[in-house]
Amino acid sequence: MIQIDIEPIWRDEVQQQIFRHLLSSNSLPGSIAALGSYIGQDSALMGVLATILDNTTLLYDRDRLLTDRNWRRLDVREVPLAEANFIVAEAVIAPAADFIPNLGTLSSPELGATLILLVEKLGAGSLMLELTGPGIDSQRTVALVGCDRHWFDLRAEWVANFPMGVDLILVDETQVMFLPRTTQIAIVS
Amino acid sequence: MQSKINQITRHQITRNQWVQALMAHPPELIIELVQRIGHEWVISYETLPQNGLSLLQVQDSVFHEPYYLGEIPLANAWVLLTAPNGQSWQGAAQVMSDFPDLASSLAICDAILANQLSGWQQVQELVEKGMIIRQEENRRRGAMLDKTRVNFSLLSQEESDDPD
Repeated sequence: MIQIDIEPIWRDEVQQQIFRHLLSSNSLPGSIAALGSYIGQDSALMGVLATILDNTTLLYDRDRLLTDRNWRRLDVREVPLAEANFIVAEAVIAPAADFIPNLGTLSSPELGATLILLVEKLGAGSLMLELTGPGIDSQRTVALVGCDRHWFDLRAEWVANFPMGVDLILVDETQVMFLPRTTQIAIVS
Repeated sequence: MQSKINQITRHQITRNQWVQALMAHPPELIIELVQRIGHEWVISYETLPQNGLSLLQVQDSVFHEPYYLGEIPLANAWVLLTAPNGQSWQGAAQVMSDFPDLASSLAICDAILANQLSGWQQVQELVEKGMIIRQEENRRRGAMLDKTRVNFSLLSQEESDDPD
């Protein structure tokens, strides 16, 4: 057996563990999953991308968060914003006026993009979101740091014509949180 | 064998022939060589190694339309060898085989030989011997092909000679 180094996030068994957490987070919007024990030296962002992307998915990296090596490892195709299934961006940088992701169509709402936003910290901070909707018992309040509020203004427009819309995944260095299009978000402070 | 090797080394074996030459040997031999000489570096993957089946598309000779001949096993690997001082070298291989660790081993051989790293002479020797085996195979196949070749021009001559 040849000894070849491969970081944990690229191993099948680790990706399966991360996937279980993503599935659980997706069904309980606003709950925060800790991925720190799986991702080793990598970020939660890369852990999530390694788990859910493959060579059939189309990615748009607005803020150049991925290195050349990340792209090679992910084996994913880089496309313009409007074509992307997945979009990666730094949440602290507000989306431009012409930032319009794929919202899917009425007959194929599953084509709506998934936005993965990198925030500074999940679960603490001054930006408070009040969440209601499927998967949330009554309501859930989450705090975060390093996210421009304009993302949530635009997100409200994008999901206005449900079932079309986008799904949000927020990640910080080690944690992940889902905000699917079915979740109603109100900014509390 | 040595004189044949000398003949071959006179004609430089290019890098794109190395994998073909090494594949002439049993996979265990390549993997065992890499296990022996590959411990000087930290080896990592540049891309994730892949193996599986690939559809082989060819063109038919009558209508010149593409069709799928069948599936072939295919594996590839792209590795990075890093020395303790931080210096690094890359190697890659793509092979029609699903033998475990073979593509990675060939990629490591590629990096070692391309950069003349420690142990490159042993890889070079296997490449040269493999090239001889390949040339012998090609010669044998060529001879078989010559023996089975049908000369259709004679057939058309007979047809034109036929009074009917």
